[in-house]
Amino acid sequence: MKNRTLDHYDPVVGPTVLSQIRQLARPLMGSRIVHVNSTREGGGVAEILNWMVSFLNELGVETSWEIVEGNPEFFNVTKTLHNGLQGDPVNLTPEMIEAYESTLEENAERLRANLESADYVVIHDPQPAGLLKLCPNRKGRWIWRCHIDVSSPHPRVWDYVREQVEAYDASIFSMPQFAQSLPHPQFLIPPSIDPLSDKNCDLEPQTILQTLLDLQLPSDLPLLTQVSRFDRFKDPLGVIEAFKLVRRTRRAGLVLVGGDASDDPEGGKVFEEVQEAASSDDCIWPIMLPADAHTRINALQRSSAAVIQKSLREGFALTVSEGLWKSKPVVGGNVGGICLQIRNNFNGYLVNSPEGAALRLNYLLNHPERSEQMGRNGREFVRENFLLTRHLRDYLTLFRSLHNAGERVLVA
Amino acid sequence: MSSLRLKDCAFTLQMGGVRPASNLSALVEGLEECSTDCLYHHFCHPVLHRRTRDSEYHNDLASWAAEELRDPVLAERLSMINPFALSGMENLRQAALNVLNEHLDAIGKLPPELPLKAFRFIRSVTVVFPTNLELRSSADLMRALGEISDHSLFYHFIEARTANGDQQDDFSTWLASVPDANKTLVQAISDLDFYYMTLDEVRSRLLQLLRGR
Repeated sequence: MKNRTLDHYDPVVGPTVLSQIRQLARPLMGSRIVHVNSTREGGGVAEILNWMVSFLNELGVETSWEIVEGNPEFFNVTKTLHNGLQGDPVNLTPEMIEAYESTLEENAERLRANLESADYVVIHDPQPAGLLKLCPNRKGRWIWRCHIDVSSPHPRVWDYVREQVEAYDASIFSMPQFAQSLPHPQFLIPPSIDPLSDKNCDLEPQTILQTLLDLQLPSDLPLLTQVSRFDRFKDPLGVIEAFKLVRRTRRAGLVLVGGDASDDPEGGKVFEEVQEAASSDDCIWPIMLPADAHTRINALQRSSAAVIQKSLREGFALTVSEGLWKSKPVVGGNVGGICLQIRNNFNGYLVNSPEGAALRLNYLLNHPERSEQMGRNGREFVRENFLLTRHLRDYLTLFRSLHNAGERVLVA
Repeated sequence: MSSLRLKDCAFTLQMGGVRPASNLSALVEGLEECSTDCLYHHFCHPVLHRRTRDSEYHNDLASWAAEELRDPVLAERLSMINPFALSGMENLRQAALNVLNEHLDAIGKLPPELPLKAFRFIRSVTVVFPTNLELRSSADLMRALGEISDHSLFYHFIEARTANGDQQDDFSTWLASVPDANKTLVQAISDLDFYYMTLDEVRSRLLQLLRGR
């Protein structure tokens, strides 16, 4: 459904939720918000900003979206920062810092006027984090939105990123475990999915079947699907290991679907490793799809007996809520934001090893009725907690609460 | 005739600025140090999110004691602390500290350190905003209960008890001020023991009371 407005969500969340959002937006009318990240395509942040910018404007809050631009060297550095924040033992050299800072200086020349005059600037993740220092005449409140699990960062990387973000007016983390001590309020806002997007809307059975045909996947075999960038932290090799254990006793197929995020230089190499590991089993299909193949991803998740997200480290994993929203039980790594979305035996399972994943997948495949009940539970759980309306409400509440730091109850 | 303009609210969560607690002693220290906003969040907000399926313990400290300390005795004792039966957050703090310190004395020494998910102190900020609902009669209240959000119900029926200083909810206070107030109804609403209910159950029970059942 293109050109969605908030009214389209009435059948999904009900009029009361929309009324809350409209009331919360009223005091912000006339304000200007700018979001900044590193890509308009691929990855969860871009997906969120696509709808958030649109709906804030619909609510009468002027909102724009800027991108930091850079060359492959810049994005190699930011990937290093990203991996280091997630705990990888990376090597952050002075040359890399120089490349990062000089690229941001170039971006600041282009963006400074817009950023400095905005009432609220939301900077997403480490790629644009250094922009604050380059905008000394900023008039508004700057918020650093960290989508990454930074619970155990590489110390050198965190020291550097901390220098970039400690002067912000506030930070946002997806869950308490991710928050680091900073000299400003750290808000907690989990991400969300858009239930009406191409990736999550209802599909005709024919569309689902056609997708399987197009991708040369069987329709007569229970499929298990993981949708994620080909990234080591998503543990696609661990998923294959789990699947091979399942295959010892059951017929099933495994589909590993990755997209191409323009700010992730490692994807191609990991995909090759996955293809190699899958080559010995003709029921494993590693598939690289373009970043905008939302309907195909939707169809693949809907055609699955269960959805997998066996990450080793994870910020949130929108794919978990996507799977739950499609009434599929989800087997997820017991890490990060996945723990927020899955309740064992209620809507899926949290696992700590390939063996654990195999154990739970075998159970789900052997208990289709229980699986269906867990799927129904999952859908309602997402409706209550992880839809974009809740997310939008959280942001509007945050903007309001920035102005009265320290008070528990504020009247809008 | 006095009217009651209904409000709604939204919440935002922030880190509480207190070191995470990985054992009982650290929890005591954190509880001594944390703001009353944190106490409110961890003891009063769980009722907002409680659903039948996960209502085994009534506050975040009790849930943590059960799941991470694997100490069901402590979890039960903490769960019996009703924050709405105490006058003020400092009394709540003292009540919780009493339970924790007594438990520490009873178990003699701390169990060995375990790899736990630490307890993280969080505070919540409530942003209140108006609705277009104005009550002038108990019939209006009955109609409103069919449509107001969980947040609005929480704000007027539960949050008001801590905000008003007299532990009274907005509905019974307002109904008491209406001419020819039904004192029995007012008392029944005021006495409703919601601590063991979900918000859905609170809503249903209030409707029953208003219908005279």
